[in-house]
Amino acid sequence: MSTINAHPSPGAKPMRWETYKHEHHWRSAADEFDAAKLGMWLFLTTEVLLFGGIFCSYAIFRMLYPDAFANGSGYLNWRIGTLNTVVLLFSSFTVAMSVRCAQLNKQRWLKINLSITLICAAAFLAIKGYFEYYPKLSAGKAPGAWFSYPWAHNPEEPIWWGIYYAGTGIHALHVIIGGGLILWVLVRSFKGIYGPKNYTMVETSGLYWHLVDLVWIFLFPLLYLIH
Amino acid sequence: MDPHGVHEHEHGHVVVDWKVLVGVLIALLFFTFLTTTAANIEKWIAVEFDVVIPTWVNVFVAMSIAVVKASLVCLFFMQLFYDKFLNSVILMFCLLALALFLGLSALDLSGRGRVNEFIATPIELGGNGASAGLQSAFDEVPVVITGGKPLAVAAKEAYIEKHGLEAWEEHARELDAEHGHHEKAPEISSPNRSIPRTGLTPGLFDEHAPIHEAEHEPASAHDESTEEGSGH
Repeated sequence: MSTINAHPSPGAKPMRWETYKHEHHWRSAADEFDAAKLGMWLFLTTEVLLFGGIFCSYAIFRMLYPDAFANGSGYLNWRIGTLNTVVLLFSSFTVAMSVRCAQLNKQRWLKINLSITLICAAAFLAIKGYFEYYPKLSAGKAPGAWFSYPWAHNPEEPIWWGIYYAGTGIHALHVIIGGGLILWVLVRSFKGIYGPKNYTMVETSGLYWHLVDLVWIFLFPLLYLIH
Repeated sequence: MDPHGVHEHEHGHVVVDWKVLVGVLIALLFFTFLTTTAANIEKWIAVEFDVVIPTWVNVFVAMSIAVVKASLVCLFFMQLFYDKFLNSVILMFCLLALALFLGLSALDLSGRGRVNEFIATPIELGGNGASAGLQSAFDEVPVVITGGKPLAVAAKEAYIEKHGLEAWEEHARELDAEHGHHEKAPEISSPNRSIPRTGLTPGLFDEHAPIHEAEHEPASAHDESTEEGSGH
């Protein structure tokens, strides 16, 4: 339905994506793209296992101290968590759209979608920092040895807080990293580097961002909804 | 075999229709709504009808919805549906590794009881700040040295020392009123929930008859009981 605007007006300087040449040790640009995508998927499996470790610790400590964990989820506001979920899902959508825009040489929409993704990333971090981390840390609900909340209902509650901060903290770190990747792609898209012949970086950064979203899809119910 | 006609198409890769992406987004938002609603409904049911919903129900519902959402993201946003099958195989292998990870850990944990008897060491549940020496990042909270007490207990005592017991209790009452997320364990069994009791029924084997109001002199046991037995 949308045509690929692959031929600019005659006499115009070609955009950088048009003159993209794949590395010579690949048979074709398609092979290079496929290999990059495969590499990214391999990396994503390592990321899944990283978060798997955190989920494993959650499961183990939940089995050991069910009361503290049932109690702990009561400290979290599911509305804020749902808001963050919606923000991340929407950002996943925009990053998938940005890949599509790069494939169809819609340069303006590519930049717009990447910008929206970046804004969603910033919104996620702002919501988490301001509505969740700041009040909790100020009240003394802190991880590990910094715990000083006087009204804990179970003696094992610091364990719950440790798991909470480990899970959401490492996830927030990935949001920052993913946001950095998207920002880099956005900056380079202003130079006309990405287009139908070269959108590998958009695709792989998008995959990383989707992983961030995937992890949150699992983290959210485990921490906020299960009681 | 020459894999692609490079110059004709853009790698021959599939361009996903925007309608599919929007549809998947709407489905994801719907499932988000569903999972939060399910959790809230379960909470409401537990309170309203005074039933105990086992935790595994909660976990199962939440996790199955999460798996559906994750599948949608993987298949359509990450385009595994349109991609080479190898990428999906890699992801499935990763999930297999994760299953092994979690499964074997759970298996290990279930056998801990026997091992612990041999290597039992005094462990303070919740930690006791033994890694003290970390300067607190917040000035109003003192540096952690709990002297072996659990962190939670130490935090409470530190507060009481600083502000007094009444202030602690008052704030605790405020929090209870505010949250109410833990119901007080009911004293009496109800039709939906029976509270197991251990021990003897109090007063069951008392030598004397139950002590009534002050009008009855604590006379000899036999007289009292016969008097009451005759429909006093």
